[in-house]
Amino acid sequence: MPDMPSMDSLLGVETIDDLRGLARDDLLDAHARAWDWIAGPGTWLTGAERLAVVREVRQTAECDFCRVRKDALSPLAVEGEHDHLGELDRAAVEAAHRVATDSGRLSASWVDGLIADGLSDGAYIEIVGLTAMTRMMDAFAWAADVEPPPLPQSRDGAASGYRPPGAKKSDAWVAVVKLEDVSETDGPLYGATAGGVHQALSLVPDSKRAFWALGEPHYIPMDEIRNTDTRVRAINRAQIEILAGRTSALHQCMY
Amino acid sequence: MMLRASVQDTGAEFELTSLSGDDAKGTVPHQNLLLDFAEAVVLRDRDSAAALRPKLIEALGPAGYLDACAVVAGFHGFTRIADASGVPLDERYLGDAEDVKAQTGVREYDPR
Repeated sequence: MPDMPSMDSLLGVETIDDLRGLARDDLLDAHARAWDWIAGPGTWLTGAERLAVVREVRQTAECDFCRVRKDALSPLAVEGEHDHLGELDRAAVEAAHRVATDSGRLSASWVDGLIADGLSDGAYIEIVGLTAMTRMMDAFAWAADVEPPPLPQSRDGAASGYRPPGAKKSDAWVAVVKLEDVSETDGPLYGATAGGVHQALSLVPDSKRAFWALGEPHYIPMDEIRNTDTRVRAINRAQIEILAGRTSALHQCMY
Repeated sequence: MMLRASVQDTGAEFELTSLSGDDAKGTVPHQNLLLDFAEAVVLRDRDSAAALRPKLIEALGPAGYLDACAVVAGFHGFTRIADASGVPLDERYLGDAEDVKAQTGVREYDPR
């Protein structure tokens, strides 16, 4: 836990780097590692394409179609085109915009439609992970009233194209790797258990690992999840869960 | 479900209906500030957030305030990977799910 800074020192900061010494190091380090990871080649997207997804997620703030659809009683009631940056194909733009702005009303048929439009299920999951990580880091910067860091330069290299041999489609909308189906080539995916939300990105193991390496410092370490009286943060568990619950409810999500 | 368990274990009280309402009922320290701040961040309400930040820092200390920022931010990500992949709730939560859904005001919506 960092030493207690003064209130003035917190309210006067301008960039996320200025929070060094004020926020937990593990949290700020996780942000830095996440941006570096995003800039490199992924599993189905290149580094340049991954940064294009990040820019597209941020572009949703300027997208009238997203705003109108979000306000509509049903997302299916509105037709139109996204205000996009022209760097990604149509299905990838739709995936990034919709997951970024209206994730509580997605459906299996919507995902199937993206795949029918030519987006592979692996690329879809990689985009979901990138969108979620971007939203997470940008939300932290917004909440703390600091500027996020400038986007890194992309690194060259080909996407690996790795697909876990044990991935299967069963009770989720996309194929996932169940605990008993993890292969050695997947790398470490789970601990002793694999809850549903931990399986969500498992079709792209690198995305799954990178997402949770960023997510845990925002919430609580996985080995503390079942400890409802954990004291690993400067606020207590009930306060953490109130924040989590309100945020989830506003996103129309049960998790 | 983790909220319900953590509140019970810390000896405080909190009605789950408060997660979607204006008037929080419970005894969790600074619950209204936390609820209002989470909402301000999700809705990107600059005026509300600006008004709440000094109060949060005063109430929670700077480290607590930044941890609150982190939790709200984290659930901007967790919600999206869960919702976009269609993974079902874990079996251990299914018994509570309908009750919690009703109490929290999460909109009834069958996405399949």
